[in-house]
Amino acid sequence: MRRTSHPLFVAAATVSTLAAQDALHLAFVQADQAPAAARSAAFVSFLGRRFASVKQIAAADLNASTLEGIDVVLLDWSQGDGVMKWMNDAKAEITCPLGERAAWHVPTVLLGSAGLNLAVAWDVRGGSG
Amino acid sequence: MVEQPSADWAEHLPGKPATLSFLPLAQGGAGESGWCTYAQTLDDAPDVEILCGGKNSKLPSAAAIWRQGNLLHFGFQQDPSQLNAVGRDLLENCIVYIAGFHADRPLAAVRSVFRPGVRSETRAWLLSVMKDDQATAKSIADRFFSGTRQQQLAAMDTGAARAWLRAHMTWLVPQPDGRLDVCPDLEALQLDVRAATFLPDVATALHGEAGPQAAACRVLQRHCPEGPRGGAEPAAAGAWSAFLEANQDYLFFSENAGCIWVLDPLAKARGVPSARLRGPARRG
Repeated sequence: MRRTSHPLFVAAATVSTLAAQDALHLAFVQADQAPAAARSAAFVSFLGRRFASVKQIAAADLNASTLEGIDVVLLDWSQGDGVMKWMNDAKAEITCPLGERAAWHVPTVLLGSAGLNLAVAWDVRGGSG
Repeated sequence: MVEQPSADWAEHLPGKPATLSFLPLAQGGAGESGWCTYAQTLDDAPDVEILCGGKNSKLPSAAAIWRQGNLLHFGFQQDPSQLNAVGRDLLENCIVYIAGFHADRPLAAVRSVFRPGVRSETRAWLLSVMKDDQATAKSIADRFFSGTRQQQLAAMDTGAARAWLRAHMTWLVPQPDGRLDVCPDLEALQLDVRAATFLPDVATALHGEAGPQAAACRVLQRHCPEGPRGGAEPAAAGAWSAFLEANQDYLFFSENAGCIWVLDPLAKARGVPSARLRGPARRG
């Protein structure tokens, strides 16, 4: 089911005003049950160097209190702990670490296959590719 | 930039180029694959903004980095230690960019092909399948239709089935089971629910005689789920006229959400027509 995205571009887009990053406080959320420690560490290390702060939050600990003051959430969530699990086990409950779609308000970056998993869990776009 | 063979993409690109220029984002070339999304499932929706594609095993038009509301899809799988300097800067840019979207939200409910349950077929996919000369009347009927219509089409020879589909394409819409069929009200009114002129056209029908008026109310009840509800029967023409007058500029069509017109609340809150409130203009 893995489809993209080899790290080669067709077209790059212009984005952002980079003056803002010094003021941004981030949260890195790893949704896998057994995440690769090196991967999480690479993100946290990188984000810590580039932004005002980064807080690593376990998916189970995600709530209004832990998100207080967070400007952007980065969600890392592999297919194995999302869509593949749901497809292989029809009884598996389809849940989302971010909670209910209607209640989610924090700007969020969906890393890798997190966008696919979220699309399936929330009925948002991104579930066909 | 590096030149690489266009391979399977060539047939989808103008001039069928043998090679394409790519901007490497990872150290050491391609690594683990991530996820991209078919652009045709994004409906040109106002909350969606495609920033770039990426080399993938599907289509060159598939989106790799794109935004829907306050969600930014960064489909590349590499972590920062695997990205090169360009890739790391791009990830940083993406974070800064999405940080500016506080009010926008993903609009419409679009069911993934990987989620169990009813998922509406789309006319776009039907047209795509019909481009394949090998697609037979039966294969098309079995894939997109159900019940009597499926049986009728499957029994035709392929040429006749294709001719029937072309003649009725405008009025094919998903039924409760997700399969396509002709909407008799749209056909009677000679309206295309997907057309940009649909809303003013159906508004005109609401002011017509009793028959067309009732048909227009049924069409709106089906294809405009955020409009007035009338219980078992569709809401009255007056209620629909008032709704369209207040919201017409803030509705957009979504084939992938079930062939419906969806309200863009951000556009309405800002008093800017949804068609004009796109991309970075939705920040804030």
